[in-house]
Amino acid sequence: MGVTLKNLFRPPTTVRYPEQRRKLPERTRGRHVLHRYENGLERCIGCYLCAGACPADCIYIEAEENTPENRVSAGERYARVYEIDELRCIFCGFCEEACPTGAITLEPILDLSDYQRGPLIYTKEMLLEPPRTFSPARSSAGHASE
Amino acid sequence: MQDLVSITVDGQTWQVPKGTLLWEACKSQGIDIPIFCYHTKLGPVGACRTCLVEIEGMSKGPTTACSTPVADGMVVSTRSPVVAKAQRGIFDFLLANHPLDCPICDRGGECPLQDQSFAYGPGTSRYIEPKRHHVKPIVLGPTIALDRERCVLCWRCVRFTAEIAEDKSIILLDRGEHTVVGTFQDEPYVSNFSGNVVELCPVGALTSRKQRFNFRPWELQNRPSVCPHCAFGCNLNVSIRKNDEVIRFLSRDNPEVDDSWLCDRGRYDYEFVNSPDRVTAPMLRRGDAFVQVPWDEAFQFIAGRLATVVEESGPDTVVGVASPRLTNEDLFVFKRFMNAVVGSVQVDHFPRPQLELAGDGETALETLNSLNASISSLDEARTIVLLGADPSLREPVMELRLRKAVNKHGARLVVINSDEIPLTGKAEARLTYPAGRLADMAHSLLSSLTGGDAPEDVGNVVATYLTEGPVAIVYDDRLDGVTDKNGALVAIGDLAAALGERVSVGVLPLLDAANSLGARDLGVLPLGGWGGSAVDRLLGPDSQVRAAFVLGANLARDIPAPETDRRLEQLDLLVVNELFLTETARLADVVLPAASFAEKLGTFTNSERRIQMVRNIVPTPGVARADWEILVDLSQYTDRPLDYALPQQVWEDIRRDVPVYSSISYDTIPPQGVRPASLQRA
Ligand code: SF4
Ligand code: SF4
Ligand code: SF4
Ligand code: SF4
Ligand code: FES
Repeated sequence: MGVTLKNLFRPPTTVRYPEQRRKLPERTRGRHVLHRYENGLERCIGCYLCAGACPADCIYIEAEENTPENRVSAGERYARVYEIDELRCIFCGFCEEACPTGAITLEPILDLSDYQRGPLIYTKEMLLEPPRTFSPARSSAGHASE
Repeated sequence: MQDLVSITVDGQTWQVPKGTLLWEACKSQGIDIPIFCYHTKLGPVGACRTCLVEIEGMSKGPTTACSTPVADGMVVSTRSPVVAKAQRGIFDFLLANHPLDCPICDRGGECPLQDQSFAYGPGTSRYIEPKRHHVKPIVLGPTIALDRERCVLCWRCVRFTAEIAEDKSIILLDRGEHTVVGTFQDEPYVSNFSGNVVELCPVGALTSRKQRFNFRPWELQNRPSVCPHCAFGCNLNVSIRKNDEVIRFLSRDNPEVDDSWLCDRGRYDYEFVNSPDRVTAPMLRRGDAFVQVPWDEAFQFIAGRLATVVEESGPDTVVGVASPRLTNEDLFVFKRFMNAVVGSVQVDHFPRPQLELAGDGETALETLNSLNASISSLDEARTIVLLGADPSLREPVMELRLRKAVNKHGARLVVINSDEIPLTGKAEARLTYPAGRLADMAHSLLSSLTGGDAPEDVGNVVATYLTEGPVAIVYDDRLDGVTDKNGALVAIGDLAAALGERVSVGVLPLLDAANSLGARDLGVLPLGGWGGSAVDRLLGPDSQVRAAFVLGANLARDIPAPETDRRLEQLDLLVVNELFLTETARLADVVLPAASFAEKLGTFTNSERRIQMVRNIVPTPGVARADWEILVDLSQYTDRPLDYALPQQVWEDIRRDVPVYSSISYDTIPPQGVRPASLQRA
């Protein structure tokens, strides 16, 4: 009875998601974000190492050569196509670990849901942080757009 | 019997032929010694020093296994502390200026430098100094990009252009620390064989401009196949990605044929397999447009029209023309379909030499056929005669074989041509004749050989070069630009026969397409043999033909005339099996989607009559099928169905029908292909 009474007057532990959000630990492995350098160039060099490391085989990349007219990343090579099937991803973080340029990280973004499977294949445009935001955008910034 | 010497390596003692290089000897015994600069097809240079071993009694310390011939009683250690330390040092040197941009390097994942540094290198570098930098990438030529930072100066590319292709275009510039790979005065590196240096380069310094960044090696699987682009039949490894995309061709060493080289035409022409323009479903003509239909509907339509035509005007108003790029299985079923199902004898292959062969022409072809020599017999030939033939144009890798025969085996090359050809510079003797007059030249040679009159220079060549065997004759069976094709062929045949009575002679033809010889052996020829031509019959001015089956042959493109298009359009039924909507397919009533060489199991017969297998490596696009399967299915809609389910069954029938193939069965065709037992002489 004492336990009951004690808990009866405790504030609720649930939050009114999505209006309210719980503060997640900083190292929560949620949805991926592709980062840029300060000058706006993409960090990703399309090296496929993340795709090679991925145990779920959910990263698909097509690389292309940078040209003076179209410089996308810092080196010779960039990812023309970069897609992650978030439905297949097991959020292990191996991709982040494999990446030689720190281009991809898993962020505390957990709202990954949709009525269809298609939109959950995230394209490069959806994963890339917007230009000029320097520090990796934590929590609210990279909301699942659908 | 070769002299054998006895050597001891790491405690194992065995015997090897005298003169073998120590590295080769160890390799044959399964002892691994790292190499960079050494390559089995190139001469040793000893440039990289990774192959160091310790030889007992040799005072100068560790020495290079790749350039040291074995000696009797040699005692070698490949694993001693001295060797290990030396090798670690060498790898430290190799990586001193190496950019380690493995993540964006096309070699990364199949890179000997990665693998061997991992196995034999020090793990961490002692160098903290800044690395040397170069502009990257440098465009070396239309096909090749160079990254000088990655180059380990192994000389492989340099030796390839110096020893194998002999254009000496890639060289090392400057000395010492400043040495870089380049071309003389930065001229572009243009070669028919440029792709080979990419494959030879043990790092990612030379990359293919076409394929840069297209894939990472670990995604790929290599499947054995055969080049479909000419009758030389070079062996390939086809790299595929995700089980369905053909992404590159690599060479697959067949010492009897390609000797591990490919030409650029063969190496870089693979995109057609995955092209989005492939025909993926049967298509019926409705007015001016095509509509995709199910197989069933297409077959019913064809069978219906065919029956009407045959009933009204007889089976011989139906002709069939197949491309010699098809497999033996396709061609055999095609012939059987035309003969047995349609009942027409008007089958043919195209392109082929369009000769008006009277009886003697056919005899000449038979003579030349019976003297068919192996490609490797070029290495034994005392004299090689290129009679109106330019291998560099038609079967490019043969050029490399000929250079090797001259350089390594002392063959004497005689070039008889009306023009300069790339091999002219390699010739010991040379005869020219006015353009198109090959027949006269062959007659002079023959007459000089048999003691008749001949111009002095011809007489000299015959006396010096054709009196001592073995002689190999390479002739071009297409006889492009030759005025009297029939006469020329007869004269070449007579010459070969007359020569054959005196010395041992082998003949290698240059043919039209990958399986031209197969099409010939299977007799895909109309009634009247070589003299008849189903194509002439089809396109001729007062053609009675009402229906045609065209398999992969692009008549409308290859016989460019308004008449061709008009005739094809007028047919009551034109069925075209194709990969693409070609000029011919556009004129068809029905287009059926065919499988490419990478999508079906079958065999090709190359110009030395080697039977080699192509395999179904990737799935066909859409509902496309092998040509033979299409015809078998179509025959089910007639009252004379064919009964084949597997290419093996077709091959068994081929064996029964074509005596020269009788000794070969599917199970016994080795990865390198096989020539019929009856031919395996010299
Ligand atoms: S988190 Fe793991 S499963 Fe998800 S994409 Fe990265 S490597 Fe693949
Ligand atoms: S995200 Fe990193 S590991 Fe993946 S392709 Fe880009 S650079 Fe390479
Ligand atoms: S470019 Fe490649 S093949 Fe040529 S020397 Fe350098 S490492 Fe060797
Ligand atoms: S020589 Fe002929 S068979 Fe060989 S790679 Fe070139 S095109 Fe292919
Ligand atoms: S492989 Fe022997 S020195 Fe390079």
